[in-house]
Amino acid sequence: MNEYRKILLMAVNNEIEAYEFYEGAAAKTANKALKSIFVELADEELKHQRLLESFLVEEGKKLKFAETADYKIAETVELPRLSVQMSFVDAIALAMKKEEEAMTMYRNFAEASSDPEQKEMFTQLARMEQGHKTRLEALYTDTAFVEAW
Amino acid sequence: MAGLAASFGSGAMTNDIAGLDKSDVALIIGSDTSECHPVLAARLKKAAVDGKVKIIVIDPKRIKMADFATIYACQRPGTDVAVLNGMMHLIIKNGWEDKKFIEERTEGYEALKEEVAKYTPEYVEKVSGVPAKTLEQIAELFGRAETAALYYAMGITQHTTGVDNVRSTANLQMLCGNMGKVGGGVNPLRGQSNVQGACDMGGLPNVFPAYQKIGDAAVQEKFEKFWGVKLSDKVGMTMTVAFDKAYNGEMKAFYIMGENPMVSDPDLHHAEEALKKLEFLVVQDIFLTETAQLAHVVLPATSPAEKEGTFSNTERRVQLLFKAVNAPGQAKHDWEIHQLIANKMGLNWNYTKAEEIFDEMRKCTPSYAGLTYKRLGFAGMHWPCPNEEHPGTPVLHIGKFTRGLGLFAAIPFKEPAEMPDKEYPLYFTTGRVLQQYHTGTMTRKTPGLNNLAGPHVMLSVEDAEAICVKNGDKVKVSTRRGSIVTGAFITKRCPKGTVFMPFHFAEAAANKLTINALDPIAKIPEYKVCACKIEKG
Repeated sequence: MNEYRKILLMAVNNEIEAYEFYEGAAAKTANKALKSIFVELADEELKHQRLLESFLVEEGKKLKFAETADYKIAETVELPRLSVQMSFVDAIALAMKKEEEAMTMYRNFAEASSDPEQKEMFTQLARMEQGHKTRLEALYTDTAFVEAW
Repeated sequence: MAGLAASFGSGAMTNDIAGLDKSDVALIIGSDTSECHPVLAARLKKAAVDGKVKIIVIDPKRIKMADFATIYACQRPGTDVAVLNGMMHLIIKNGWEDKKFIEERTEGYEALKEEVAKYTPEYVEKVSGVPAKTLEQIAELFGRAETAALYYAMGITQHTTGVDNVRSTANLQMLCGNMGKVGGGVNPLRGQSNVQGACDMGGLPNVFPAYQKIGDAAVQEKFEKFWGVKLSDKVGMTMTVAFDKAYNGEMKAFYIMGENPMVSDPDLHHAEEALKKLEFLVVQDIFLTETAQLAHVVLPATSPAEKEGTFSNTERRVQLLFKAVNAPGQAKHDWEIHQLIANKMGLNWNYTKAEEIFDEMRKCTPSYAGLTYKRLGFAGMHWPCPNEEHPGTPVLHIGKFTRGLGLFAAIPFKEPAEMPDKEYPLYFTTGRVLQQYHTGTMTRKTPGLNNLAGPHVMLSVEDAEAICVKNGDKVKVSTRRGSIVTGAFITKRCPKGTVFMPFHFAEAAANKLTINALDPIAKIPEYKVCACKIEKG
């Protein structure tokens, strides 16, 4: 197996893990809003997994993700503990932090790699995760800053 | 606010003013927009004249915005829930509801559907006076619109059913899928230029800045650490409750800033008695207001033209205020007065300008964290803005509601606290006129404005004829709280049976007549409805 496929397989497995994480969380909670967000997040991870698998199937297709704005909101939040009683906003914060972790991991791999092709691949994967993080950060901004008294 | 927080999880205006002309339809209910929010109203009028937005106005008085409306409906004061439930009844009956939005983003729909089933156009006509045919036209125009915005102000909130009214507006907008998109939303128009900012900063009995709850252990610890002092974890009280406690002798001292309750409070006799019973009253204001005249100590403050700072407007836009002229005499900035008092009390505050306080505030106010004076510039920015890289958030709830799923509530119609009867046969309602601002502390110092709008009571041609008065004649308006003699302004804008009085004028203070009945949740008084009689003065 070449290096390209190895990296892609690792990325696919990461998405599968994330999918199972959210699917399990959705199954455990009775809260309708929490369940719906976990199901939505699991679906998202499934989409990411399928997207990455398409690169495995189509030989020669190169990873390419557009750069998105990074408002670094995840970086200012602590990772909440997963629980069936967690608040809706904490569920989004948790997902946002997980995307940040994945982004950082790929960025570190890119930095550590001396092979230009491998470096580019990790950079693209980091960009993909940053895109997911940005989307969740928009949801977080919608939900975290409450006016209620 | 309490109503929207229950429905969406957050009570702020959901959309921005710039997106106003992106609506297909705008429903104005309980907002005399051109009198109270003339800048925003001008944009709405232009959008209507340009053919971009069709306006629906529902108001007990035929307000000027009705002249720009495709449909106008006059409801009896205090019947908003019935009218909104009637609209929803028709929208569901005709299949105009947004099924996808309801399924994906809301909960509690079945209970709402069951409740509004009773509100047939004929029943709503009986309760509210809105003709069944007109209600059908409104429901069709609103229900079939691709994007519709809803605007309300104190005509919705200042009722004993204020929270019910607000929740009904949220129900309608969720039902039609008008949330989370440009040109849609539930848009409460704030009563003063910086109400939003005052609330954001924790000018409420139970929260620190950014609505962080007093009594929440983590929040308490955060602020104690941040300010380096031990803080009370006891929730305070609303102003309406505080006045009752002063009246009963339980409260001994008030410190009132930039507020003139001797004109703005409901049932003014009660408010005056309460203030006179205080052992110590401090008033900080820019003029010797009716309230300041009762004070033991008056602290002269600076006017908006004489100070720097920020205003957070109704759309959550934080805007810089630039000083134009120096303050006269001994007047000082509000923060300077506070600092002098704090230091007299043994603290050591050393702020030299408003910006330093703003920079400290944003460190403990997550929704303002990314706002700096430099970034605010001339245009301002919308909160939430969590860090200095974030562009701000003009439209809320695009992806999700704060509470996850929007919550429908089944809201039954309830009558106002005091209904017209044999002794007091007319509805009495209050509001504002364009030329005066709130209790007139500033605008009434301007003779030109006083010439344009002085004290008066608006009544219908029919009600005027019934007591044989003509325009300008003195009339005596009475409720169970008291009487006022003022000039009659006879107009077709008032329907038969409803009398309107602006509250700006101390010499004919409408709030001598209003009722001190409160919404049980928001504690807001029912300024918009009580019973009155009118006689030749």
